[in-house]
Amino acid sequence: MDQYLELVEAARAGDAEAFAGLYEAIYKDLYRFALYTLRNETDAEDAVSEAVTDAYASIEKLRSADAFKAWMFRILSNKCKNRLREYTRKHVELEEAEYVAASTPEMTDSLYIRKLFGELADEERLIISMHVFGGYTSKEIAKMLRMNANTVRTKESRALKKMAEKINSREVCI
Amino acid sequence: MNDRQMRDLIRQSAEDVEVPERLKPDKIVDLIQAVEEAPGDMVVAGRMLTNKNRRNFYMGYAVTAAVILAVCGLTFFGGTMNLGDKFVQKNEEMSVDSSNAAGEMDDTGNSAEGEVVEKSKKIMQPKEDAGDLYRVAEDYSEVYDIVADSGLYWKYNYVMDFTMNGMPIEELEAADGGAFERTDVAGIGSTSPSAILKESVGNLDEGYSKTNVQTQGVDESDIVKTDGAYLYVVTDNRVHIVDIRKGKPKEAAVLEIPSETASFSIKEIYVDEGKLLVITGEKNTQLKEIKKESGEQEAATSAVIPLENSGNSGKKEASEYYTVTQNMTILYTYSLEKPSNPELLGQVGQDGSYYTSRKIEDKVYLFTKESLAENCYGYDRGSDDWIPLAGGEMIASDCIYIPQQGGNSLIVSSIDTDDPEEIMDNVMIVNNDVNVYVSTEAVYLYHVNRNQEATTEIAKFSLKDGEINAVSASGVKGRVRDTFAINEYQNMLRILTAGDNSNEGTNLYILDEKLKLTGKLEGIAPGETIYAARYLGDMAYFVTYRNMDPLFAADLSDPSKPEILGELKITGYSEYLHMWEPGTMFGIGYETDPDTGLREGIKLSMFDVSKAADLQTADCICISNADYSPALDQYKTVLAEPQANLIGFVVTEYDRTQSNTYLLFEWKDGKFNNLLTQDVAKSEYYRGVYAGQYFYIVTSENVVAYDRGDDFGKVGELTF
Repeated sequence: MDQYLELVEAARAGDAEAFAGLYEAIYKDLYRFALYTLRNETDAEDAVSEAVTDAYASIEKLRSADAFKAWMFRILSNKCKNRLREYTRKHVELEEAEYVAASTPEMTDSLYIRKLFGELADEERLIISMHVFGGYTSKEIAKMLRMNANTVRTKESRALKKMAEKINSREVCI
Repeated sequence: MNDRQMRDLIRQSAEDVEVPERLKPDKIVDLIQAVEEAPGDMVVAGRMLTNKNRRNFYMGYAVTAAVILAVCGLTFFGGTMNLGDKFVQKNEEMSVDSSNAAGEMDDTGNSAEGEVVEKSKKIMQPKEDAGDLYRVAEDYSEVYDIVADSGLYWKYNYVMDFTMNGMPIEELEAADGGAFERTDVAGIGSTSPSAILKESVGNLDEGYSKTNVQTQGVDESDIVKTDGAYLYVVTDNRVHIVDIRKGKPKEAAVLEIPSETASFSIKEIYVDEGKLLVITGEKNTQLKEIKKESGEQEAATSAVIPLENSGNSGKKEASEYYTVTQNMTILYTYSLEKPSNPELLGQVGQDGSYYTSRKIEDKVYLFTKESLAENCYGYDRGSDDWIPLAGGEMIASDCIYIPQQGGNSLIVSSIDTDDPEEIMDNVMIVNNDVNVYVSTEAVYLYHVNRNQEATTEIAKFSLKDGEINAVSASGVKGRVRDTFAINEYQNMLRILTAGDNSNEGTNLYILDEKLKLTGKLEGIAPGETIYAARYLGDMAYFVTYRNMDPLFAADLSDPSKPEILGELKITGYSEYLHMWEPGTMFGIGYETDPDTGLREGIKLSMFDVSKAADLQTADCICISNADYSPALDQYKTVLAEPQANLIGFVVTEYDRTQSNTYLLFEWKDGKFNNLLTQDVAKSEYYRGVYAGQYFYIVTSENVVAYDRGDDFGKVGELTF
């Protein structure tokens, strides 16, 4: 058994350190995923920590060792989906200051991209985050969001083009 | 800029995102532990407490170990550690295999070295969807939605409304068999005969009969089994082990599995490779409270509508209770090293009432059916307490298949007979009701789609060394009308169906390993109904009937072009077909008057099928006063052993009372010869079994032995 599978087995047996070892390989992407989807640092942090504690509590349900990453992302994307739903229900105007500072021509490219990304619709952000940070295919995303795979591809492509257009119109070399 | 470049930009833009300190890997352990100390939030903890008494019914060792694992590995039980103690005690009481390291727990519930030993399990692949028919559930809520939506919701469980005099529900649970456990089986009458006589087999075969199964290589459980030296006979909640080494039956042991529930019974058994596998079923009915307290327990989507409106919240309210009946099926594995004293090797079980089972090499597949609509009654959407257990654990949501619609389920588990306390793999398929066909490679679930006109929907799940996973799904026109009408050969599925209207005739479909249609024949023999089918290699034989019995032979060797080669018209019709020696096949069915269609008795026919284009009847006999035979619809009641040249079955006559007669035939010189005719009155079931020189008629009340070498003279009898 390779080292990775050993870690999974140990984590499944309740070893918190082993779990942390598995987590280490993916935690940055987990957080980025949550942040980009939710646009709010506090919420992203909470979503990831909830996902982690949920995952750890039910790790014995992880059936396939090599599925750890997919499994974590699945839990986290559910957390994010729920939060997005709550936002809609509460009509909360999200404070985006943490996510991206004011839009100025001098802002860094990264921040600018983040701002543009933040302007996308909830669903668009979720789909692209799943693809970029979670590594899901459009088919898998379709399954998780109960959508048609073609619809997912269309939505993603349209959103990406929207961003690209804005970047081009900014006339800044990126 | 294309989409890929755009995605790269997004990814790059996230590179410098700072992950909060609390989420760093070195801090994550603290995070987990902080949550563990606040058990209120823990879904898992809540689940284990509420499922406590259900789990107790599966007090197999593995279950115990798993629960301890959770208790000591994750300390979130905190103050309720006595629960852990209880489980540890049970573990010790079970006196399980002490060589297993996980048994070495100290009395605080912690393992000796703080390391948890778990058997390395075969790692299973994630479950695939079964075509469009069933897909893997995302989570339990999704399963709940399907089940709650099934329309099967209000059929069950009358709601009781009374005050329980302030008796806390915990006490109710404790009073309700919370300490249920099983003890080892006592073998009584363990007077093992010391002298073994090996003589007197004579010139007859030394072989012994096996259960008549649907598919060669796939063993099926039954109520009577033999290994040639002993008979194993199920009677209600006992297994009688009968020594037949000297021909004359002699009781060697009675295996009794104690149970606290009145509904307990032994369903069926396997005897193979020195092991006796016993499948038991029982019901456990419990009283459940409908939770009324406000708070997160009661979601807006609560499934329970209170019978009365709640009064003022300050007042003590009448509690509402309802009954929940839990069906459980358990597989006990015994060593037959000493048949007079079988030793329990392990037990494992699952929720649901026993439906069927199969054994392929050393893996047992257990099929149970469970009414989910009944289970989830009283729970709200967020709860998972209604999810059935297998091996003492809730079936994981990624092992649950959901259809468009359905409120029942089929639970399939695999068990390695060398590891009889573990479920290797399992799936639960939500549906309304399905039939099962098991080949050596796969299980096919089929049912008639109720929304459309007679369409049989089929889902294929591969069975690979204990691993169960969906392959595909498909649909064909018509209904499957005979157990033997569906068959797999060299990865091709062949299926005979008939529409609701007999004018449509019979259809034959051939599907490839992914269940894609490769060839078909539709509208065979319009106006007639299919009664029986049998496949042998590339050939299909089937019987359709109106007033005459055409027996068809179809060549399936070209999967894209099945072809009818021959047909034989005779009076009456067969309902059961069985391949005899090469080129011959016998049928059991009804003789009828060709003009009126009236039944004239039970007919046994031998067909010469050596030339498909020229099918012939070799011989047939009619038992004109017989009205029915269990052989027509219960194939396990048929004895068909070409090696021993024995064909046996029961015929029933309905006169003023019902009388049953066991008939035994041999096939000799192109004729059926009656070897034995024996009344088997007053019994629910019977099997004809041979072992070496002797033939036995076994019922739930007695075993009668006949000497095959002495004109089937009776040589002994044992009454249970």
